[in-house]
Amino acid sequence: MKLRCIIIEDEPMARKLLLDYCSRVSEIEVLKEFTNGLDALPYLNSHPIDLLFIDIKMPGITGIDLVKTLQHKPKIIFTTAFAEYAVDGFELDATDYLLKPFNFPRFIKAVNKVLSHVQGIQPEAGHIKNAGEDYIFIKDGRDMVKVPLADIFYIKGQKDYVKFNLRSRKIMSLMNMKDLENNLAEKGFLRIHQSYIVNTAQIDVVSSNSIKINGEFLPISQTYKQGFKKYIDKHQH
Amino acid sequence: MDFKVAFLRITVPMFFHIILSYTHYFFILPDLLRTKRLKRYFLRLVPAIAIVMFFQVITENATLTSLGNSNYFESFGWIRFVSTLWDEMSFMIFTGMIKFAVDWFEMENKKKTLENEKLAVELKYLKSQINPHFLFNTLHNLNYLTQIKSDQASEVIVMLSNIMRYMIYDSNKSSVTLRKEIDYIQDYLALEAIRLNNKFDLKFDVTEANDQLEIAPLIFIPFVENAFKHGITDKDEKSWIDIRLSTKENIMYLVVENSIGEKGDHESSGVGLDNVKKRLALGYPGKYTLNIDESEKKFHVSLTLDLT
Repeated sequence: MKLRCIIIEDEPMARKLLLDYCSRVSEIEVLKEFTNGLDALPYLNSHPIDLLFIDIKMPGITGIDLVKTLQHKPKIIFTTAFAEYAVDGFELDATDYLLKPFNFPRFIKAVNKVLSHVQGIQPEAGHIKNAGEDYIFIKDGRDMVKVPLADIFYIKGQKDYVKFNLRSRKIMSLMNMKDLENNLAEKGFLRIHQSYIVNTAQIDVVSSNSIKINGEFLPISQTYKQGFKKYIDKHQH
Repeated sequence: MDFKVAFLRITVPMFFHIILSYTHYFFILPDLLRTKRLKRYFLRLVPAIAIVMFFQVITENATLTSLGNSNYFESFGWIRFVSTLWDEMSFMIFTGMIKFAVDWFEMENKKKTLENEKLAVELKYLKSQINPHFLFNTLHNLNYLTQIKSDQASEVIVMLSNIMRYMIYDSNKSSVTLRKEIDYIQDYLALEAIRLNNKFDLKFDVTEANDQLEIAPLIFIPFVENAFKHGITDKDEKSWIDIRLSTKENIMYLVVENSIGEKGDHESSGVGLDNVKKRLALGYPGKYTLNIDESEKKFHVSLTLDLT
């Protein structure tokens, strides 16, 4: 599923930067961009969207006032240079508040928040933490999120980040596939493709060139076929 | 002999006038001014006058009776009582008035110092309103320029550094050279030009200005910021800003004109201008004229400032 998103931002460079960040995340599809709130209003009222990036201080109408007028509120991420608006922003149930200047990792963290909301399940809710359980820390912005290994189905490598497909949600993180492959090799994780590391415990079906995991088919590439075959042989009894 | 008489007749009463006046001036009156308790004042004043008069009469009797005019000094009738009392009172009231005058001057002085301090604080506050928002937005633009590896990034860093240096080190001074203020505006304009992709027509003419004159820092910037606030965007390609600065003798003329965009933010533009009006009134009382005209298509500001 892709997040349908629009950008409202009066600063030209800030707009281009947001557009660039969005284009690097495959979960996001930018439908349209506007330089001020008044232009965006008719579009917002007639098109369903999932996510709104909006500057606060803009000519005409402020981002906060615009959001107040919306009848169907999408997920909202405010972007602004004014720290003092943060409180107002959160009162409107904004998902996140990006203080300029912000960078790609911080942007990813905000998008992660949106994803965990949209998927409707709070990450740790209902999960009983087991002391003996093996886990990994995943970088989320400047924070590290603790995730039990058993919750991971697979890890997908993208151009600028990796995406953890977990039981309850997805987390995007600026980590390196090579490092992950090495660190997780002894915990039952296996690289099967340039873009995929899978949790072998979660594999349902193995075909000749693909595997099925949590209902999804992932390809096995030539480079990693040898290693994968070894793993299969070890477990064939 | 006459001289001795005259001398004693003046100095003996004078001695008692002084005692009463000083007692009143330093103890009884200040207490009244401090506590505002009138009853206590008279309860102290009346006995003080009575005691001083008592001793004055005794002393006069002892020293002046033998020197002639014995009729007056031998007896103590109404006439003597009233004239002695009148003497005492007039001295006391006169010095009391002095006390009031001295206090008034002191208070006026204190008030003035307080007022000056208040003005200094206010000026500082007004200067500090120059927006950090510009700084962070520019940093965010830099964020973008470095992302796309643009050479403009280094240009922006240098100009931003100049601007920050000026704001940090020079804005606290009471005056700077016109040159510094002009450089600051030029850097600011260049940053805005980069931000808006040069998609507007910008003129800044300083050829007629003597840049060695001294001016209070950050006087121009609110007018320039205001010009940008009036809806100059990268979408509207017909926008323009025209700034002319000139001097004649010690008089400085600044004209800032700009087009008004369709979606200009008219409400918030007032803050910066109110701010500079206050600063002009505080820093150049009676030495400036400021005209602000707004028509449908054009915003016009002209400032004449006497820099002597």
